[in-house]
Amino acid sequence: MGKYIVRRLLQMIPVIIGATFLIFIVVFALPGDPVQGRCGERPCPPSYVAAFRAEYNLDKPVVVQYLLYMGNVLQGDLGKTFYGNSVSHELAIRFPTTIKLAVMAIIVEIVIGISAGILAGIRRGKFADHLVTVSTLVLISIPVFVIGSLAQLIFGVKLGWFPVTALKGTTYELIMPAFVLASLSLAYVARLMRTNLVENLRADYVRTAKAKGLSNARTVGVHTLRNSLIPVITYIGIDLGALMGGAIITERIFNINGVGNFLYRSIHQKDGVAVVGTITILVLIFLLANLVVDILYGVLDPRISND
Amino acid sequence: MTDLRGQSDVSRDAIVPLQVDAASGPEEVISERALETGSRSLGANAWRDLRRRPMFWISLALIVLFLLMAIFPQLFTSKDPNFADLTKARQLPSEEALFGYDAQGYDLYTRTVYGARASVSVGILATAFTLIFGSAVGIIAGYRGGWLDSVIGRIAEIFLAIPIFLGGLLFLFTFPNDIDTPFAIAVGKVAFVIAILAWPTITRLMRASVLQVKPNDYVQAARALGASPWRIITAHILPNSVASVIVVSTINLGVFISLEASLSFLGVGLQPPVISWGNMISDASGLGLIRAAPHMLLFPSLFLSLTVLSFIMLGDVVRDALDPRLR
Repeated sequence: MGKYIVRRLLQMIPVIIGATFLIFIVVFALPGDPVQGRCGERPCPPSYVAAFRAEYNLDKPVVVQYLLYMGNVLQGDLGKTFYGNSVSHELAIRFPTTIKLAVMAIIVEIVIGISAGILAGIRRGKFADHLVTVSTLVLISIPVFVIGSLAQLIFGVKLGWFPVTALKGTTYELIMPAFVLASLSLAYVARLMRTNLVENLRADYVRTAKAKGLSNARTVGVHTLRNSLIPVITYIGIDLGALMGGAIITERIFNINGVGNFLYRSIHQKDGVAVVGTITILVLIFLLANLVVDILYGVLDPRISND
Repeated sequence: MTDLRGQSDVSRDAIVPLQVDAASGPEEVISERALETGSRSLGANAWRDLRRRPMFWISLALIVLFLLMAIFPQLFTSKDPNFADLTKARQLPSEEALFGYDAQGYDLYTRTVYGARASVSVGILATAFTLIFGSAVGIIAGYRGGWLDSVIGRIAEIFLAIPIFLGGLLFLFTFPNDIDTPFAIAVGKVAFVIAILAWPTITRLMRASVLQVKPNDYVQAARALGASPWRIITAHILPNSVASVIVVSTINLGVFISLEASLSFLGVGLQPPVISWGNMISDASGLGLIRAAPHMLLFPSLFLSLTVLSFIMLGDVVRDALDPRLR
C-alpha cells in the first residue's frame, strides 16, 4: 500500500510540471501579446511594456521564465490584477462560496444520481430503467448554460420559488445553482451506477450468496452495492474538472461571487495575469483531487494497489 | 467460458439466414463462411439489433436533418439571416416569423437555421482530428510499445490533466476571435483547441484495443508469414478496434458541439458576426430579456440540445448493439 502511494505521488510530479508549463507557454511564450488589452483600446506605451516584461521575466529564456513563475506560485504569489490587488487574495475571498456551491452540487449528484442508478439497475428492462436511461440521456444533451437559463426562467422568474441571482451566496440562494451545476454529472453518475450494478448482479459471488439462501435485500444491499459504488465514488472525483467548467458558467448565470465569476470577469477585462493564475490553481486542485481519488481507489479496492 | 460459447452460437445463428438469402448455397458451405467471417458476424448481429430500435432511426433522421441544415440552410428558409428590422425587436412568434424576432430585430427562425453550420462544423472538425490523430498515435504506442509507448503515455497524461473547458478558455483567451476573423479560421480555431485537449482519450482507447488484439494467434501467424506492420495493422488490428473508437467519437461529436456552445456562451468561442447557437443563447440570457422575450432563449436552446442529443443517442444505441453484455 505504501509503495503504491509513493508511486502515484512520483508519477504525479511530471504531470504537474508538464500541465503548468503548457498553461504558461500558451499565454506568455507563444506569439500572442501578453499585454493585449492592458491599456484599454490603444497599444501600450513602450515604458509599460518594458516594465511588464521585466516584472514577469519575459526577456529571459522560456524555461527560466517558467521556473521563476512557478517559484512564485508555490509561495502563493500569483501576480497582480489590473487593479493592483493580488490574485491570490482575490481567489482566497471567493473560494469559500465556490467550494460551498461545489459541495452542494456533489451532494445532489450523490443522492439523486446514485438512487436513480440503483433503481434502474435493480429494475433492469422495466419501466423505471427505461425512464432513467432516457431522462439521463436528455439531461446529458442539454448544455449546462441552457439548463441554467431555463431554470432561472421557470423557477426564478415564472414560479418565483428561488431567487434569480445569488449575490450573497447564502445556502438558500445556492440551491438552484447547485442543482443546475449537478445536472450533467448527475446523469453520468446514474448511468455509471446502473451499469456497475447490472454487471455485478451477474457476478459469481451474487449467485453464491443467493444459493446460500441470503435474502435479496442483503445480496443487493450489502454485497453488490458496495462493489458497485467504488467506481462511482472515484468518478465523482475525476469529474471535478467538468464541475469546474460548469461552475464558471453557473456562477456567471446566477451572478454568484465565486472563483468562476472572477475568471469570467478577468477574461472579459483581458486581465491575463489573473486568468493564468486562476486556471493554474484550478488545474492544480484538479490534479490533487485525482491523486486523492487514485489513492482512495487503492484503499477501497485492494486489487488495484496489489502489484 | 460458457458465456463466450453462447455468444458465438448466437452470432452464427444470426449470420446463417442472411447468407441463405444472399447465396442460398448448401448448408456446410454456409457455416464455414459464417466461421470465416466471424469478425463480421458481430457487426451483422449488431446491425440486425439496430434496425429494430426506434431510437437509432430517430437519431439518424435528426442527424441528417441538422447536416442538411448546416450545408444548405437555404432549403429551410428564404430569408436573409443578416437582415434586421429594429421596429420588430423582441416580437413574439407569429405567422410571419415562426420563432419571433430577437433583440436586434433579426428573424429568429432564420438565425437558428443558419446557426447549425458553425456548431456542426466545429463538432465534425474536432472529431475528425481526434479520430485520425488520436488513433494513429494510439496504434503506434500500442504496436511499438517500449520507450515510445511510455513517452506517448506521459504526454497524453499531461494533456488529460487540463480539463478541456479550462484549457479552451485559456487558449481562446490568448488567441481570441474577433469581428474580422473569417468564418473558417474562427471555427477552425475552436475545433483545434478542443481537439488538442481531447485526443488522449481516443489514443488510450486505441492503444488498449491494439494491446488486446496483438497477442492473438492470427496476428502472430501473419507476422510469421512475413506480413509488414502496415498490413498487420490495417488487416487485423484496425478492424477489431475501430468499432469502439467510432462509438466514442460519435458521442464526442455531441459533447464537442455542447463545448463549443459553452465557450461561445462565455464570449470566448465564436464571436459575432458568426451566427452560432451559443452566441444566440448568450444574447438571450440577460435577465431583462429572459422576462421580456423568452422565445429568444427557447428556440436556439432546443436546436442545440436536439443536435447534441442525436449524436449522443446514436453512439449510445450503437454501443449497446455492439456490446451484448449490456442487453
